[in-house]
Amino acid sequence: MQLTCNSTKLHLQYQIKKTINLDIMATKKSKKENKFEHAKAIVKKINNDLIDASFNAIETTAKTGEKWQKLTAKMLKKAEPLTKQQINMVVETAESIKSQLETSTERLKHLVGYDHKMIENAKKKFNENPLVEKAEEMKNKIEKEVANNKFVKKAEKIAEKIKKNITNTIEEVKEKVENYTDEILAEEPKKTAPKTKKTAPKKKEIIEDTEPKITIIVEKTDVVNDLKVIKGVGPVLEKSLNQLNITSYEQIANMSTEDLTNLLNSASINAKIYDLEGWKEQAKLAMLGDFEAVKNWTKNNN
Amino acid sequence: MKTKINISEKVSKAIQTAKVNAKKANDFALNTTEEVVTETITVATQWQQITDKALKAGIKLMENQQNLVFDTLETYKNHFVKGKQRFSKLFA
Repeated sequence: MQLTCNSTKLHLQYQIKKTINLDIMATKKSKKENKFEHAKAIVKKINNDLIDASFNAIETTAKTGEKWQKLTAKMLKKAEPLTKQQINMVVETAESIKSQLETSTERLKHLVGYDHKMIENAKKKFNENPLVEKAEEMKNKIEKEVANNKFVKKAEKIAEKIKKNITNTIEEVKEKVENYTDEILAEEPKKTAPKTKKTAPKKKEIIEDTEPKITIIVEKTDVVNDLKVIKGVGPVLEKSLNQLNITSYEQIANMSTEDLTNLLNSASINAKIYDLEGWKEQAKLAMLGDFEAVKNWTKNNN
Repeated sequence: MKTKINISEKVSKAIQTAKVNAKKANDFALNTTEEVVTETITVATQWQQITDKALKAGIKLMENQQNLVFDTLETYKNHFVKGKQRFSKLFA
């Protein structure tokens, strides 16, 4: 009996222990479940908050965007007449400049007498005319023939030779004449000293020319004038005159033409080619300071 | 728990104020932009009017100048033509 009692006790104990263990397990499970539920709730809350926040953010962004869009539209509407005006301005200016250019070209054409049709017609007629082409062909042919012709070449050579010969002969004749006149001048005073009075007054002059070549000496003066003012006196002649002590207008004005010719001849300057009377008159005018009259001086006027 | 509630309240308050401030800043920016742009448009319109006036006057001046030049040239041409005719008659 005692044994059975013990066994039942043990069994009971075991049963109790088992139930206790089961209870503990149940409580543990419920705690875990609670925790999980709590976490789940938190996550859900966070998610809801996030959704709300993003919703709000999107809403505000859209609202502000709309506002900015409205502003842009308003500004664009306001700026529209400005751009329209700007475009009109540019186009109007361009149009007026274009019309001005057109009118100016028309007027220029009218001024110059440009007739487009007439010129085109003339060009056409000219180009279409067979005579022009033929004339050009003929011209080219003739040019070629002339250039290649032997006679032409010969004629050119002969012409050159003739030219040379003529110039040589002219120079020779010149020299001969000069020599001849020199000889006559040298011989004349010996042969016809008394006769010359009647026959050749020119020769007398020449005889007189030969003598004072040595005698005439011009006194020096301190006055130095620009002798180039006198017509026929250049820089070279002025130098040679200065070498002959002629430096002033007064000297030329006071000298006789004969003296002047003798003086120039003595310096181997051909006095015949110069208008010495004119020199004197111009020198007188220059002495008076009337350079305008000297400038406008001509042989016929004075 | 109380401290947690306090912190969340504070955070939400701060967010709210930030939101309000951002909205205010945005409104301010909108207003100033509008003012600036409208002012710019009015000033630009005024300058545009001046430019338009100047351009029109300049074009008119140019046209007058052109007419003057061509009138003068035409009159000179007429004079020359008449003179030439008279000369040709004189020496014919």
